[in-house]
Amino acid sequence: MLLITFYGYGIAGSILMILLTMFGVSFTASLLFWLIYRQKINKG
Amino acid sequence: MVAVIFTLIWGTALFVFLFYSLISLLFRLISYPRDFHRFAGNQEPAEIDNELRYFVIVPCFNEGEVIQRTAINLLKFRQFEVVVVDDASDDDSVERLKQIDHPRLHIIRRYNPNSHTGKGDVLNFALDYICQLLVPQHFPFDKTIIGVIDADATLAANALDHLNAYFSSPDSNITQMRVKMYPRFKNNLQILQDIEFFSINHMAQIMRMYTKTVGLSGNGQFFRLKPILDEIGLHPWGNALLDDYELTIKLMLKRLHVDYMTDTYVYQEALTSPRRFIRQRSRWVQGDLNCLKYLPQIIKSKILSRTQKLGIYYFLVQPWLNFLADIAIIVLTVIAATHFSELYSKLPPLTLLVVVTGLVGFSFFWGIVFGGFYYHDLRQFQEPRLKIRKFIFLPIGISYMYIILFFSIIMAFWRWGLRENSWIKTQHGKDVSWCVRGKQWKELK
Repeated sequence: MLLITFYGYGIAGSILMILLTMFGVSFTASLLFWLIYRQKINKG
Repeated sequence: MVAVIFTLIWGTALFVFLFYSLISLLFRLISYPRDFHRFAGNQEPAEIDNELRYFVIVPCFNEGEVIQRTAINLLKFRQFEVVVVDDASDDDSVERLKQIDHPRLHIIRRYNPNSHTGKGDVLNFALDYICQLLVPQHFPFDKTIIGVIDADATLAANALDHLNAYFSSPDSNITQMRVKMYPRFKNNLQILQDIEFFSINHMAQIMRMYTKTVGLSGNGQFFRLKPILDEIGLHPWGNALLDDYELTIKLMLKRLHVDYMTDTYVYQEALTSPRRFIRQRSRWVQGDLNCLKYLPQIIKSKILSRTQKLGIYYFLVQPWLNFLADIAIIVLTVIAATHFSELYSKLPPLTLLVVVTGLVGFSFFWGIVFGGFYYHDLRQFQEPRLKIRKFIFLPIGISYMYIILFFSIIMAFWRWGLRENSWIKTQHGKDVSWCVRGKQWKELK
């Protein structure tokens, strides 16, 4: 989907969009992981 | 179609890398400052156990350039007995050691044809010797601490205080020290290795401390002898080229986890030559591939938690992920270059500029983050700081250092495929300007 949407900006555009999307997705995932893990550690 | 497949491969690798790094960043930035006293050696025990006895094993093969300095530095710690294992060196390593002539220095030797069979065998040989020494003395194994230090290494001055603080608690069993390169860098490659060990790996190890997945590095590992003998046996080290991580997996499978020391460290030599750097890293990658033999045990294990399993999987999958991601980047670059006019000629120059600037800027993200940490860490420990122009170079260097590691991955897969398991040894003493000073020698005597 991303590739199709940003194909107009060439491979560089697609790559940039994938980078930004991946960053957003992995940041959210890691934040969730950290919050859950933190809670688990605090509970002992 | 090819572009889509390789973009997916690259996107997956990117997600895994970012997920792991961002979790590490969160633990490093937010959790670690609050939990500082929970890290190995940072505790303040009610009483220091003065009965602890330390044996520090130093593997030695043709280390004549550095071995004397290393032994002398270790002997300065008065609780240490230093066990140097000479693995049939053909230089003057043994002669140099004999010159020291100290009651706490033990020189043991392996001879051909039983030598050069890997670092694991050398360490097991030393452990046999230590046990043979302790049994007649009836010295308790739970008061015996074993350390492993490389032939080019030096411990920070506060190392013994932190070790005593850690091992004075009877529940503390295994710890890995932070690693730093010697200062007085000769080139940028050495600076980059220092950042990698002192700040980047440090951040990852902090996260692993929380998830109980801290990995042993070959240099600066210390453990209490009794639990190792009870759980792993008399010969804990295996023959994988990455003996330290192999031992980490064995320990974790037996419910023993490694702790991490943040506030003391072991210095080691950084390499100056890219060729030797690639060879060293190819050995590490191949060692990682060797550890795949534990995969069935890890999958089936009821002892390991899900997070611990994920941590090990991440480590084991790294060579494959790096290899595929590198191939994907090469293929995508070739496609972009060969279809340049078709892809970019219709784009307004300003759009193209924004896109390219965005890409380049994004690639510097981790370089800037780690550069900042490194600056902070050097200041905190009063280590010699870098000149401003070197710091400006850091984000570029950190972001693109891993490109040259592509060659080490290729080399490792090649050797692994051909079952070439010989030890590509890192030469020491060529890259450091430190030497044994007369004053140090007299102090020791």
